[in-house]
Amino acid sequence: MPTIVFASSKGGAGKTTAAIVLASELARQSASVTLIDVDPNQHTAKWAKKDGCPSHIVLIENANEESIIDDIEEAETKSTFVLVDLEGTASMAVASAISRADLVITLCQGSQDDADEAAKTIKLINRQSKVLKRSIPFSVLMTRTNPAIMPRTYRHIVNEFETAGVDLFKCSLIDREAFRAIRSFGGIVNDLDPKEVSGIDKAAANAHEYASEVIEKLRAGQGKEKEVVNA
Amino acid sequence: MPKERAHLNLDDDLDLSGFAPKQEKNRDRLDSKALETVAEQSGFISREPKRRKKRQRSPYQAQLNLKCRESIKIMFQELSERLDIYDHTTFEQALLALIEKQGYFDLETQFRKLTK
Repeated sequence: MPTIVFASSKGGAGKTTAAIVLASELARQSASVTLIDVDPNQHTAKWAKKDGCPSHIVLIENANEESIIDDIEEAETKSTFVLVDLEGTASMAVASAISRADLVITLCQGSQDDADEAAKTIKLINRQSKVLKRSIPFSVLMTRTNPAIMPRTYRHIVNEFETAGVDLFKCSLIDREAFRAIRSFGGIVNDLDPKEVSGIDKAAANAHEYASEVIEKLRAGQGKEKEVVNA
Repeated sequence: MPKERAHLNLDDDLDLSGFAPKQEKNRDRLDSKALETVAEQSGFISREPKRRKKRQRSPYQAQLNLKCRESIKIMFQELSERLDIYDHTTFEQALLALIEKQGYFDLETQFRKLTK
């Protein structure tokens, strides 16, 4: 039932990778997942159509500004989790999907441009929450990080978000070849061939850690909703 | 007897209990106009191609080129201006008035049918 929206008005922030990795991890646990691809480039759809995509994943391709709300509502009745991969622009489709989200994951690499666009998305979420009179849970996920080095710009950005009280994922999506390889070979990280791709175990552990944190955040969001209802 | 021994399941499975598809569709209608305004104020604008209004094809397709006196042409245009109508409407109204004056009922019926 929860709808998780991957949003950043900047392209290349890691929305598709984050959506695919989460869908894979949830499907690996036998949960039914609908992946809605709203990006005109249809990269999520391309992955989902490749061999090895878990059968628990249902794809809705070519969704757009006009269809997105109906697509989400329809998918919510069919799948346990609905994941929406949006295009990397500040579009009305992004705003529409956010209005239906149970969790918005804002992707951000360690660059100022990414952080600025993430901030833009966060402002939209806050404004929409006021109009809808409900809190839209959101969290920033740092992507393409280096496990060995934490550059100063990255540290500055994380610090900025923390100072502003923005919720950040404890984990990040590490820049791993395995995450790129699934886009090429298809399938999920755990099914990759270790002869072809290195660091599969580390990528799988990262994917699991990230999925666990998403579930934690969804449960925390549900708790907040109950508090609002009881208040 | 299977040749492979059982593996220990040490995978830390995700606890997905409590999550399930919705029983029925969300019936809350959102105030889409207010959301649109908020989105536009935040710089999130529609990227869909604007739909062009379908223009109705004009019924005035044929040309009627006739010679007349220069002054009559000016008078005809003056008449259109006074009536605040296009020249082709002036022409049709004048034609109808003439048909009515002559009492050509068959032509009047035909005219009304054609211009309906």
